[in-house]
Amino acid sequence: MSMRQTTPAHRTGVRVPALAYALAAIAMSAVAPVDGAAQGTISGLGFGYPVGGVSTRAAGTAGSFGEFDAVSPRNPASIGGLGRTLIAAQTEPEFRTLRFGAVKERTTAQRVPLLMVAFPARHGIGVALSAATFLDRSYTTVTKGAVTIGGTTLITDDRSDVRGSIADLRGAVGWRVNPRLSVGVAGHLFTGDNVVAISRTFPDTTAFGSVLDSSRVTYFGNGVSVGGELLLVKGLSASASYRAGGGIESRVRDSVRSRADVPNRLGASLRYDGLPGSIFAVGIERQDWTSMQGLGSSLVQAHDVMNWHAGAEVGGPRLLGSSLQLRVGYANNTLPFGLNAQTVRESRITTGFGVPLARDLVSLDFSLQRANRTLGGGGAKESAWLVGLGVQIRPGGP
Amino acid sequence: MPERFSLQSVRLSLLAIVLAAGTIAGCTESYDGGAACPSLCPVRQTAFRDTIIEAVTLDTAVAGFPTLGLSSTLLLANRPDTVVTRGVLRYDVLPTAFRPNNGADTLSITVIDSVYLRLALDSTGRRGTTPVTIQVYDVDTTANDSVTSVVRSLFRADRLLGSLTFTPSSTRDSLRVPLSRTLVAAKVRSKSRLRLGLALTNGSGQLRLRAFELGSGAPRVTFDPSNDTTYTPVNISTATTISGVTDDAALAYQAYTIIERGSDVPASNTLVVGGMPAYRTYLRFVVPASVSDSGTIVRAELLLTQRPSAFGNSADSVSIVPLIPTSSDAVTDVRRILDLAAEGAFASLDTTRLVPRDSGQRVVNVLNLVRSWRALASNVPRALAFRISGEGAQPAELRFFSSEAAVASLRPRLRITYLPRVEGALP
Repeated sequence: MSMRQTTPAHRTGVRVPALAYALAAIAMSAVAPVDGAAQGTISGLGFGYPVGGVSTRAAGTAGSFGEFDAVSPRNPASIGGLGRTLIAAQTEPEFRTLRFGAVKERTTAQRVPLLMVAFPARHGIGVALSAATFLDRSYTTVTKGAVTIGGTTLITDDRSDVRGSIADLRGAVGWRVNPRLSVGVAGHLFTGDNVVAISRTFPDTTAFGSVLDSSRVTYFGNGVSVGGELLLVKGLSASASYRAGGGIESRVRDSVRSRADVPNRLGASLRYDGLPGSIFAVGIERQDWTSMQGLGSSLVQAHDVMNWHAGAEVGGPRLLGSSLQLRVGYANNTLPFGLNAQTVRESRITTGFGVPLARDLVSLDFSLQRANRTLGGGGAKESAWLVGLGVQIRPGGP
Repeated sequence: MPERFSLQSVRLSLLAIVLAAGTIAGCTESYDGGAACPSLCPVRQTAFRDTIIEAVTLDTAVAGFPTLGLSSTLLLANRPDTVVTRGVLRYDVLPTAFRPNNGADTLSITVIDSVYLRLALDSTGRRGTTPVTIQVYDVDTTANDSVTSVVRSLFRADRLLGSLTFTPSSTRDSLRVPLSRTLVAAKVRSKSRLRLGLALTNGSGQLRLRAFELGSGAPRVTFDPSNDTTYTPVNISTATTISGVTDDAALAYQAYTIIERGSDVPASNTLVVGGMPAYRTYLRFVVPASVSDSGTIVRAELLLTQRPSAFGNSADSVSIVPLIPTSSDAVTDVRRILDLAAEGAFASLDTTRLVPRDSGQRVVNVLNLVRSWRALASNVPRALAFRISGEGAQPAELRFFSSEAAVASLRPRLRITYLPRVEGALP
């Protein structure tokens, strides 16, 4: 089985249908920041939660397939040799539970973390456009406050609604140089916004008016990534990619408020598919999130992180005339933004399956991830279920 | 259809898409949290700012309210130490025929009987526990009776049409004053007009008369149009026929008040609300942009320093009613601005009750008004005005220091509490 499960019928020279362009345009606009993790949790501190931007298939293996998977916009080399046009979309709601002392709080985030269209060109070249959620910052806090006005202390009902995220819009070209080597290059635009609406209501609404304030910050940055994939020996491949982060700036009403750099990212994986019907992969990644430190206020505490992951995919029972692909994985991550000089550690146990439908015209992928997060220094813990559902459509089938 | 796009394939594809869309749509976001705050919610604290500003750029008191004839009540008072007023009622159209018991026949009025002036009373305005006499005079004249001094001169004994002695505190919802049958009959027969002047004498007291009810004059002259007492009495409402004037002017002179003794004219350092004649106070403000545009105003109060007033019912609390001037700066006449002002209730401004004889700082909540100023066009002055409740028939006034007060702390000021704008979107 090849990692390029998305293109089982290898074809070249297929022209990109106009529909694909249209869908791509829709996808790019649809992924604009709409969702995210919650502050008042430990996963959404700083600029938010790094959603990851891998496909549902890769999510089922804890991200370990991200470097090889053509639907995961990490390594541009993975789209080299793409056989068919590919349109992919996925959803990944997250159900979180925060425990902090006596506090137990549940929140739900809805996400559309990835939209992609990819199509093959000539000579083993593949082209892909994608929109992935890079950082997800959405939360609501409902609290009681106290203010002193004219010497009198008043209790207020406070509410902060923060919505937004930064998206990674990528255009990538991959080339299968020969059956042993693929390379690729991609350009990234990082754009998005955060909208904050703050309300503060006083008990005596006749004497004191409510505070309703909102502000919006937009982000715009760029980066370039390169990658390669090499067949080392039969059944064993290595893949690596590097994203060089360019500048990123925040703007409030057309005024640049801050500048920093998109974090560099280095990822590497090993894949073994020497056993028929099975794929095993392990990988690591490093991201220099501290390069974003200057983009926010002093409250943002960014950390450089090193993550690793491992996963497997094996052939399972048949469903609707097709073989199910069963997946498991485990990841150990450090989240980019912490609190009080402490980092947030995350472990993920994942599973999932994929099934091709309609004679490979469509495939469905399902992932289930259990994430456990801990803020260093003890105290706050957060657990989450992430349920992923991905759809891939491959027009011009076998 | 080519094999690769078989019906089954398309169905399954649609199923997959529907399933995916259903999953996306079916998951409802629920972000409400915060129980772990402030431990897990690092925020930049922004403090409310409290400021008192001398924001008044123009303040003045204008007399002569309400517009003559637009008051629904009239004050008839004889309180020589503080307020004395007289009333004038015009019945310029007298019937010369009647339809007995509203039948089909029409008969000329040749004799009349049982002539009364029926005065509808606002019982909240009565005052006096000792007997007083209401006297009704014939104040019709060929002279220019829009001149107060002319009318005043007609309140004399030879023109007395009738009188009634009563105790104000014992009155009910109306008062019937008998009028001279002979004199009124002569007016009817000669097709002339009946203009009545009212005055209280022989004691201290006051009445508040209803001037208009349901769009017509409330004080009515009634009489039997025949000696046959089974006939329904004729009722005559106030009306005036002044040639060459507008309907408004005609309305104004149907029922109005002449003030014999009223409020003292305020000095330049004083603002008056109410009184006789009634004053309205107008204040125009300029709020610094640093306050109005760069934050959210959570409290706005007008601080007025009250001066004691001895006029009228100085010990009884009265309400000052806010008005919102809405005209642009193209209107410069303050009287005109006040005529065009809207009731403060439209901006959720409430009335404030004060006691005229009191003094000291008074606080008027103007939060909703001040918050609305940001949305106003730049050519609309930010302003506020006040009138007294029962204006024109309220023997009370409230006095405040104006912006010309010698001591700055006595002048009208705005106290504003606001939260500076927070750019909280950047973490």
